[in-house]
Amino acid sequence: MSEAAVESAQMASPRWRAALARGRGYDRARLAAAYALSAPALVLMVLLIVGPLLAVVVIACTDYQLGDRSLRFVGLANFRALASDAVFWKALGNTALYVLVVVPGSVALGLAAATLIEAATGLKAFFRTILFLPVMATLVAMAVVWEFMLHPTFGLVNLALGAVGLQGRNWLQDSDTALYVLAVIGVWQQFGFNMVLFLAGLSSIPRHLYEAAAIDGAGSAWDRFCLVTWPMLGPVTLFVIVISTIRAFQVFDTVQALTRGGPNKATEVLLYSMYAEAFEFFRTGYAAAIAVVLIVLVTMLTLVKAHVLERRVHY
Amino acid sequence: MSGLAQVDLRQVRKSFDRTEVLKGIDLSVTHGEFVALVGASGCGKSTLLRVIAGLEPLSGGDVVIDGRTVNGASPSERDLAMVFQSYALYPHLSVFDNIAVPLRMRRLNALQRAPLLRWLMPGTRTTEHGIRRDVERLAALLVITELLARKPGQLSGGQRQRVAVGRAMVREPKVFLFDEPLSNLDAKLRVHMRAEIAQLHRELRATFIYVTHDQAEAMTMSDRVAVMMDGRLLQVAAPAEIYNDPQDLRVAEFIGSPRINVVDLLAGDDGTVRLNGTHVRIRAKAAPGDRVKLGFRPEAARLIEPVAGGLCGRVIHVENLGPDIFVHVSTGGGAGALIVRTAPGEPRAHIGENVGLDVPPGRALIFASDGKRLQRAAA
Repeated sequence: MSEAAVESAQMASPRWRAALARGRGYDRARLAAAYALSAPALVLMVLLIVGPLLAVVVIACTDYQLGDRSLRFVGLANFRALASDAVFWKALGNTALYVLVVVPGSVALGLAAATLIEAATGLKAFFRTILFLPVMATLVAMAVVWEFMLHPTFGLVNLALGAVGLQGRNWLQDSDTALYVLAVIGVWQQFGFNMVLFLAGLSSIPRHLYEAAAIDGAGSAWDRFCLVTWPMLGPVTLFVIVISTIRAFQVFDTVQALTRGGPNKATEVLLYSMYAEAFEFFRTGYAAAIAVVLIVLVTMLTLVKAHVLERRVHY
Repeated sequence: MSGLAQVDLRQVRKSFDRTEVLKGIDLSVTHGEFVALVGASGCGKSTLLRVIAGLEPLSGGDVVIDGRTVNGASPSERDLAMVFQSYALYPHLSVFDNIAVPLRMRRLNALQRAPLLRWLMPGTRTTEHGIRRDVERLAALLVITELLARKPGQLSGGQRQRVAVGRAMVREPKVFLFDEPLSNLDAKLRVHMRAEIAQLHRELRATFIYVTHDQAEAMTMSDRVAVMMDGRLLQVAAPAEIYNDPQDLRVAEFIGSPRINVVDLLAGDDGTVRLNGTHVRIRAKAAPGDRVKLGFRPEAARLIEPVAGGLCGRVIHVENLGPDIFVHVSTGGGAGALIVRTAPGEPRAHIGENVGLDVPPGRALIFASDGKRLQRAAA
């Protein structure tokens, strides 16, 4: 339990409340000290997190346009407009599809890479670093590299396909493939991060469990994985899935750098719609409404995670 | 049942990098025997157990189980069970599933163990039924039936210990290995579990190899005690023999609490050791004037009036434990105090009193300066 939780449990206890009711100076001083000590963190939290969040929600209920000197409250009009906006639904669908590819892909690949590195005898640090590079690299810069690789005529991907007799495509300009290509880049960019989390999880599995498994007859690597590794990684996996999902929902840089939502809205995603509304069409209120939808989705995921984590993964 | 196997270790060696941890161990554990491997921490006893289990590859020598050399065999091929110090229960599985793991690994094939898919495979249900019956029977035996649905995290130390033993017992292996199984329990529970494991051994009549740093466990539970030090076996013998007839000063010092008293003496001109007027003749080649060590247990000595030229000193401390009173006697000269046990009925010693110590020759143990025991000749 965190110290804060201990503190609040104490505050809620009947003894504490009784002490407060008696109003002894000592307890009042303690209470004052407690508030004083938590004040800086509270102020920063309100200023940097709660404040902006509230501002977004408020702006979402206005017709504010960037640069305007006045604004008017329009209630839920922005949200009603969203509900009948085909581009918004397209963006929501694309985002969902993107998440459905990136999350399983980056989690599975991250887990595979982590278990392979953990099992390796040498060069562990080398592989760890190499596979983590995409996470550290600036995605916009890397997007340029991807653009070259995916170029229809002189790109490495099509040249390689051509060498084995396959017909390449114009990956980023083809509405059938563009979103999937972005998803693949998303997996490439994210799985290294997941791998590091899984590596941390793997290193915390007690070695004795593997030895017990070996004695109990779990001879093959697969048996050991099923009996020990996978279940013991449960909490980490849940965390990785939620983090990956939240990050996938926030896809923006590759879209902005490579396709700008095109071709024909095939790669229009929530965050890109929001950006376009806010900074190209200056419809700030409408963009804020999209932001609120995104925030609600991500918050729901976090709540699900917290709930499952509390309930299930207690060893 | 199949719980009988002979384990032979022949010149077993183990090195980690350049550090030699096991320096040639020879040990035979016969069918149904309970052997305790005891030694200070870092002496290599746990490594030896892990080598027998197949968890560590050996660097030299042979591990032979029932006449079959198993040097390269995996742990599961050796048909032995192990109880770990940390119990190593699978935290995500219920007690029932923990105990069922060894059976499932053996009786079900890979497809019958696969999640979800397993219930589509022919035979899974029948086998699972048999597994349930066996686990429940064992649980009743160990009195853990009401724990079967719980997770290890919800159990006390003693209960986890019992579940770990259950998981080891369930497939009736030939050899049981215990790696300090009681060291995580509190003192009272430890004494209780000691009796239970000894009882278990009598009932199963399987071969037990039990590693501990606690001499009391080793002495009370086992048929034979193997004292290990610095990667070697110093002596392997029955508990009483280890205590009364140690072959090495280090064994004598390790076993027994309070520890054995040791006094430096010089061998006389005729190669005998003179003690309180009696001659304890050393049969071995103690040259006249050799330094030897005289060892005697606290209960072997008796307090007497000081005798000139004999062993004597001043009482500096008296410990009354009820049935035993330990009298600490300082002989001066910077040596540690000698400890003598007296019974409550005997005359009391007082702090500051000058006393003499009488050690009957028959109970004196004499060691050469290198620690090897020198046999006494009849006086």
